[in-house]
Amino acid sequence: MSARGELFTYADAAAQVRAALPPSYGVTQAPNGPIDVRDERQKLVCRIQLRVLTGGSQWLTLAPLRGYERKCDRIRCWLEHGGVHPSWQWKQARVPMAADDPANVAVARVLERLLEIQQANLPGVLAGEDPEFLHDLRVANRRARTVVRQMDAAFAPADAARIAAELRWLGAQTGPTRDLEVLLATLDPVTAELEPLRLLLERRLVHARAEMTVSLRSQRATQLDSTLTRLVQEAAQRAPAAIGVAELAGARIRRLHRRMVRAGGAISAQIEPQVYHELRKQGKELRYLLELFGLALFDNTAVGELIAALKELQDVLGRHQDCAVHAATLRQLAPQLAAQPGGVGALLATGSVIAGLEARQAEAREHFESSFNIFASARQRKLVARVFD
Amino acid sequence: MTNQPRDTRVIATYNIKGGVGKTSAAVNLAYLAAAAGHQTLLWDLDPQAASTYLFRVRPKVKGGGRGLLRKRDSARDHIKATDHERLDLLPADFSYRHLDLALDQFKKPAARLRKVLAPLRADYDYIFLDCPPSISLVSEAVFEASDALLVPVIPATLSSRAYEQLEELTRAGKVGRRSGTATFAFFSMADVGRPLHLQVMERLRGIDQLTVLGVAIPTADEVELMGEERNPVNVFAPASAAAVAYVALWTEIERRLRPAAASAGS
Repeated sequence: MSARGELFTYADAAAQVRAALPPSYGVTQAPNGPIDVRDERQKLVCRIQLRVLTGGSQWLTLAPLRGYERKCDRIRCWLEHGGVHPSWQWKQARVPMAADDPANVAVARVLERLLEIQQANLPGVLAGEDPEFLHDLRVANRRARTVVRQMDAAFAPADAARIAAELRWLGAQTGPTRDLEVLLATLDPVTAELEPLRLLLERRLVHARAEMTVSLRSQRATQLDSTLTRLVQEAAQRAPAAIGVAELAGARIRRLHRRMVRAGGAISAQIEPQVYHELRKQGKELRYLLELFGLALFDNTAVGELIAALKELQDVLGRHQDCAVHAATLRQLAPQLAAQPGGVGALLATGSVIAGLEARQAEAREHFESSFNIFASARQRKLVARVFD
Repeated sequence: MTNQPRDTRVIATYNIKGGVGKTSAAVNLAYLAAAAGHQTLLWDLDPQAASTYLFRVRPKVKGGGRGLLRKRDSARDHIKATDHERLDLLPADFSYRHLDLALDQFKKPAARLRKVLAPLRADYDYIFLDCPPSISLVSEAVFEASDALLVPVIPATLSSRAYEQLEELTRAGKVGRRSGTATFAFFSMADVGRPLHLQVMERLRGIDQLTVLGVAIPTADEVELMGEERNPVNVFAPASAAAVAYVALWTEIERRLRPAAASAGS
């Protein structure tokens, strides 16, 4: 099957799909089942899974049948022309704003949008069928935390701290599940020797998911969206509109870029992996600010160039960090793995996996210098100064 | 996902004579194999494309039969999912009428189909080959590639003649040459109310060279209706005599092909 593709619609999904497709196509739906799409030969070519979200809106996930991927792409295009919003549009976190909008108002608007995305992904996370829901929820959550932390002057400190605490809580509930999902995806495909490891990780994942589900169904979680929305609105009302959003965002972007250039320049080959991780975290925050505020308020071409250089660097840092985390997790699992049936063989095979991860980590370190040099080049620094000063 | 090797069985429905129920058997048995939880592929080798039609798939393979044979890994790119879970189809193409010529260009033509199927063994538990009615290089390649030949036989004089020809081929070592290849005949379109059918069935069961399975597929409107319904009999008429007979036939074939699994399950 090809990659997951989601669409978002507010109308009755089956009727909307039918209306968007040519009349020679057939659309049927069993009660509570997926929407089946048949082509002009009446051959089933695509299944559309539905998930109803808060407020009655729906996620549509298009799953082409093998050999019919191109037809499914056409169906996706027809649906988009028919008014069904594709996920990239739906997941669009940027909101319109003007440079002289008060920072508290603009920041509140961005946060509300991020909370909306976070909330929209929650039913998908609870259903547990597609890891992308959890990924999208966590991205929205991280972006919101970045906005609260970096755009600190927009709200009173006490308000920002309350919002940050709620967001942090949600992030913490979903972290272990996401880490295990990523680790399992990294191991795919699993050889016969690694099967005991896969089973062990799957069991941990089931456990982590169960704990996450309990948390996400708790009273705190069910009230989280309204709590956060209320906190954001109250914070926006209370905050003095002393500063324009472009002024604040520009200053924070400059500060983050300067910090990264300094921290990255101090990295030597023997440095602890944690230092790379810290740099990566700063990079993520910088990227979110560039995407959420930079593109909306400043010279798009210049911001695009900065994002491209940052992305390269983040890819290298991300590879480095993922390998370090996965290798550490696998090492921790060694005693448990040895006790499994077929555990000795699995342990040996896991050793090879860890060696592979370490090799990739070393490779990432080798690539770090060149990508960092581009990111921290005089041209990029001048660009930052010119655009955000 | 695990990449465990599969113990794949390749089953060809074959008869020198046409119109004996090869396609019906291939489609229904492949459907039953998939419905029982096995990853199953049906390759429609007949340029008439009847299996392909029944599954509503376009009878077209880009590059034709020649292209399919040339690259050992290309079959995967042409596979289409049917409307049924776990059942895929490698469609027919009109160019298959020249498959003999295409095979003849290889050093070992009879071994070519087996080579084309080799990478697919990792993906499927059962691969069915729906063969054209002929005795040709294609048939030889099919014999070479298959773990089992399924031969539908109409219990009438002319059809049984084709069966006897197959028996001669077996004796000459053309069929079942590869070790482990089994040949199973079964009666198709059988009418137990007709004395002639009963006589022919009795006579053919007496031939030692080939194994005649116990289950016979009866003459039934439902089998003919497959062309209208464009579905296996078990989908639109699961309680019909034909559907029940196909289930029994599949049970018997699976028991013979995987005796260990069958006894473990019983």
